[in-house]
Amino acid sequence: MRIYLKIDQAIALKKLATDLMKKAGIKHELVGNNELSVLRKLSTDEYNKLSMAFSEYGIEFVENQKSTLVQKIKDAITEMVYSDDGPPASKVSVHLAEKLGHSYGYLANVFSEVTFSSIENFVILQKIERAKEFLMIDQMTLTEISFKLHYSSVAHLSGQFKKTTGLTPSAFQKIIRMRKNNIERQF
Amino acid sequence: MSGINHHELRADFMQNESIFVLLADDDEDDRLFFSDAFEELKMKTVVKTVNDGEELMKYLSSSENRLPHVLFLDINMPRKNGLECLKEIRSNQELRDLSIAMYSTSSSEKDIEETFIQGANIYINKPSDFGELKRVLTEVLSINWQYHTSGLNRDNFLLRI
Amino acid sequence: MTSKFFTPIFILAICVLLIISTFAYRSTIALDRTQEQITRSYQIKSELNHLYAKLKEAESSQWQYMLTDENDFLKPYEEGRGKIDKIIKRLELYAQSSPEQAERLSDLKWSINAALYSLEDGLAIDQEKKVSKELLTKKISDSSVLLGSVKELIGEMVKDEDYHIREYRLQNIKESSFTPFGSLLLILFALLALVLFYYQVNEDFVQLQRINTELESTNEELNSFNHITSHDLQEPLRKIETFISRLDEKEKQKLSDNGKVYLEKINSSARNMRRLIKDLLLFSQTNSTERELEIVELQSILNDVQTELEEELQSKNGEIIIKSELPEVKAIPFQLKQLLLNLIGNSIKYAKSDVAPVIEVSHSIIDPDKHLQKFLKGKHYHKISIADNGIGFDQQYAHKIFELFERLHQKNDYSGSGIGLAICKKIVENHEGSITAEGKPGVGSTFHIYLPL
Repeated sequence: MRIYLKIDQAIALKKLATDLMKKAGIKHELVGNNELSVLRKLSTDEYNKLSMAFSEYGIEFVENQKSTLVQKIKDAITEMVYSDDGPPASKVSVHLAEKLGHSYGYLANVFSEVTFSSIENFVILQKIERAKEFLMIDQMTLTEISFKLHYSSVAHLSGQFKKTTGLTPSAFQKIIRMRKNNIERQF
Repeated sequence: MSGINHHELRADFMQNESIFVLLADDDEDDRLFFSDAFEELKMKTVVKTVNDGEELMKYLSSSENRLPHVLFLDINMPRKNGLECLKEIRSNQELRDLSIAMYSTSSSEKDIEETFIQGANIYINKPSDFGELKRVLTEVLSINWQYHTSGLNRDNFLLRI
Repeated sequence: MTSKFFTPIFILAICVLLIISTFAYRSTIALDRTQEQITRSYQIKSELNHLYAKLKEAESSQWQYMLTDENDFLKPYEEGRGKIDKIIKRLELYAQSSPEQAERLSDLKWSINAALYSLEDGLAIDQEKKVSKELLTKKISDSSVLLGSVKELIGEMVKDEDYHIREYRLQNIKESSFTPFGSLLLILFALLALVLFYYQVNEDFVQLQRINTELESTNEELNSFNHITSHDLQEPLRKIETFISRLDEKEKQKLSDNGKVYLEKINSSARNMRRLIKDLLLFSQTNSTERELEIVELQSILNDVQTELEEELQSKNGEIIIKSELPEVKAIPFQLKQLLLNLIGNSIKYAKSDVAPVIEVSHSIIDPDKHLQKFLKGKHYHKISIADNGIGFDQQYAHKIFELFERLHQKNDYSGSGIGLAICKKIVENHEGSITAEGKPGVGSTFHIYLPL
């Protein structure tokens, strides 16, 4: 006999994704009809395995070029900030353009399109993140930290720190310290 | 430390994905301001509101409910105020990674310090200009997204606006 | 009884106690004296009687000898003589205080000597054995007469002493009747005074406790009022501002020009009121009740303040110059930060429109006596000066600017609620210090903060 089908793609996709992801043990979310949001980083191996599993059902993973580029930009910046070499030989813009093989203007555009934020902001964010980590190590003074991160002066670092986080470096240190005391007290 | 492993791929879908925001505020007008502001932001958001602390804790503890990307929590609420909710949330293992933004009209320096110490990531001084509110929310959401996608250490995520 | 009368009554009570004590003391002394005198009189009397007895004894032993020719009877006479002399000597001592008695005593002495001499004379005659009966009889009667006069004298003296004794006795009675009465009076008065004072002190104490409790509850009321002010008053204002900003954004085109102006004025008023409430709250919260005095590094507070004001400073191309490093002081950290924030913030705010603000911060330790500062108390003080090159002010207003709500400019020219400097003054006073200002219009202002070492 014939059974007539009416296919609701959304429901089908949802169930399929849920089953496959559960099998792979990865938490996910379905966004719209054709996007999968994975809430943690996947290793290349996992990604490939997943890609294969889905392709059996005729579902191909499409790499979003722009997102990938943005990720590369971020990685490059992170590498720059966390390197312990001396002051950078060239400006960030030059460095990135060279490394990723695109004009800085293009990179900046893609970056802000995807993240709604600018490359400069991300650079500052990363530097301040590293400064935070340094601050947690009590022995480093602000002068040492500002030197390590290639700031022209302590005032420059403090100013940028405050602008980014809304707190002065000392206020930040105090809060982290008191948080630790608080947690210790609870146990 | 944030990894620079080139074999890892992380997805940055901010322009396509909606950010799920949970808002807890007992004041009707403030709920209106916030909802309208979220709607007018560049990034897509889905906003759910609860009217007080009890409702909030009930929502968060039910396993059926989606956890938000960011929780916006008013400090001055009747019965269970923001600070009490904060303490409860932070003492719950499952909710440890939830980004929490506390806001209030006026707090002393000491009170603000206390919210950070109790585990809030963000403190917002409620702006009185709608445009300013939009700017603040944009900043909060985008920085939070950066933490979310760039693998930055959430324990160090502190922002005061 | 109010405490106005407390001191005079206390002094009066002490005076009365002293007076009564003096009287009691004096009557006791007088009592002693009369007692002594009575005793002495009795002693004199007794000696006088003793004397007479001895004289009689001497006489009779003399006669016995003369009658019996037994030598044994001479001995008592000799002994008696010696004793009589002793007695007279004692009497002379006692009679020193009374000239009458002394005189009589010398008469007595003479009479006794005469009598005894006559007795011995008779003895001598008798021993010669040639004596006639007539001579012997004459001698005997002579002696008797002399002894009689001695007896009379003695009798007089005894009478005299009896009289004195009676007198002293009367005096004694008079005085001794006062002393127990006086002492009783003294004790009663002292008890009364003690009871009164206890009552008064207790009353005062109870009243103080009552006032204290009232103060505590008033304080609590004020604190909760503060909290209400901080939140509930500001909330509606904030909403007004926010709704206006929405109108501004969405509906502005539909408003007439006048409408736009009115809207802006409403917004501006709401903004001002909110700022005022915020500053007032800060002012009332600046108390020294939170006694959290810590050792504070002023230098690091200054650095923090510099960081916080970085944006405004940059926007006017300003700079802060630290001429001498700031010391450590014992203070409330939040308050000192507010102090520096207000002062340096002011320097930036009141910069000249065409000149980049330059703010100099310096420190020294001063001895106030040298500078004749009336409000400092002679210890050593830190002097922290903040000098700017802004618009300055007229020196005659140097005191006024620290008063609450005092402004030297039109409300719209410079933002601010007029409370900032009043807060600075309160903070400085919380730390038992002081603050002064110097200004020259068109040149700049300098603020000096004094904090005790």
